[in-house]
Amino acid sequence: MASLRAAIRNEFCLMYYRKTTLIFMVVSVVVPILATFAFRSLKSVLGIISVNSSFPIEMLGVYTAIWIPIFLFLTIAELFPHEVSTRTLKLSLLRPITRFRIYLAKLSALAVAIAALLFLLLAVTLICNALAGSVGQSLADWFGFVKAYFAGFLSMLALAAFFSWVSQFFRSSSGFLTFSIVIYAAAKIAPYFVKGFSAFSLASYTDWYVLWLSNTVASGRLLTSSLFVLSGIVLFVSLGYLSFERREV
Amino acid sequence: MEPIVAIADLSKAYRNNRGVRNITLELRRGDVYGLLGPNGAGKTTLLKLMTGLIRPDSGSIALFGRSIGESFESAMNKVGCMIESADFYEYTNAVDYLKLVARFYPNLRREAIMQTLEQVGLSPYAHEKIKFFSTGMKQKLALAAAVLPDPELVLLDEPTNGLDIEGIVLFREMVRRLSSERGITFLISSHMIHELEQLCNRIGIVFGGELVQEGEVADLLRDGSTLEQFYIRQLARSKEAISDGQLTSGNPQ
Repeated sequence: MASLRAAIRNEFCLMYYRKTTLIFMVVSVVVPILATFAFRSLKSVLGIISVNSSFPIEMLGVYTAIWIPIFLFLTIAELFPHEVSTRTLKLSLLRPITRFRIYLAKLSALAVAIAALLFLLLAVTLICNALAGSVGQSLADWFGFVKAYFAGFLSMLALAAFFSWVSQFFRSSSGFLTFSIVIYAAAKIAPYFVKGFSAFSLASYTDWYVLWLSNTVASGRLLTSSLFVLSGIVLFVSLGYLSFERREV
Repeated sequence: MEPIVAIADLSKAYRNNRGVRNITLELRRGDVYGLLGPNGAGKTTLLKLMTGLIRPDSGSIALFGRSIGESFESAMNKVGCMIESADFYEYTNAVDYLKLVARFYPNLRREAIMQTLEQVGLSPYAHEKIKFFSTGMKQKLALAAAVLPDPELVLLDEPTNGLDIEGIVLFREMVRRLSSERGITFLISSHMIHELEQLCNRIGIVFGGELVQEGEVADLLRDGSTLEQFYIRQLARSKEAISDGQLTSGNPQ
């Protein structure tokens, strides 16, 4: 376990040194603030748009559909293909730590970064709400936010597990980035053309939190979709590890 | 006494047919073992196999009596390595990079990082970003990372590449000191035949993926020839053996 702890700490340090994560954190904080100011200024012109009690959920929709997936692609590209192309992956492989723990450490650091991004987003949107003079939320609203953000976190984790596996087939970060963006965009568009595609695509679960907020969704549907996302995480973490274990550096 | 390194019938073939074949090798405590051979002979492949970077097709590798395939963490616990080229996270500085290394060795003293940088002559550049380092400086840093965890076995692949004369002398003195004072075992793959002649007590010659000759330097050079003369003779014999069909061609460059 000491080696796993060391590897996780190292991954956090490397994320800090690389700056990508920090930049994403800063932008994640700034965007809702700018949106609040923009909505306030435009309210007199457009009338309808405003910062209200659903602002944290609306921003979550934008972040889980576009912003966090972009963060995932960039970070995964740095964690795997970039380390292969710059031959820095061997720097941890040559230490007394198993490949399973190295892979787990990388994914853990990624999971913590996603959680931090979502936490920041929730905190900032709530503050923006307060600053915009929106009516105070009830306890039920708060519970709904936590549920929605947790569901958003799980769907992002499933995407992270899937693309971490995909990244094992690439030796350059640019190749992986191009491929993953194309695949993700295609998976987002496909449901408009292929009936039933969304039921089997993790990319369609980025707005999965909506189910958790609805009072009309049957608990059975919630359970099956939860199992689908959780099994996706387990499956792609396992596949990713298997590919990572077999990788020759 | 149990050997520090025990390799038996090790084989690995790449798609281009190069690799290593049936290598059997044992290193004892305190050995400074030099691995010689032409480009593409299989020296780096052997080191990569020993450290689990690539998997063998057959054969076994044990470090300190522990199999690399089955007990990787305990086998690598007392090993320091520098394999292929000196590559780093270029956005870190030397101290931060060595801190990343040190985390895997909980018993390492705090002051060990600065002491190691001092030993390799990098202490004036301790807080400089690695991307501004010259090839020689990177090589020194890789050497520092290899010896930092106080290893009992050090595997070095072309350690003097890019080093200036002062760096080479420093490297030689370091290997001698660590070997004589602390009994550290070294396996050094290099083209610097004169360096190896001065440093090593045992030599192995790899040709076409096979270990064609190995033994104590004193025994091999009993006829008074230099290591270079001996190496050239062995190389010529190996080439003859290939043309006679006694040795499989590893297609060395």
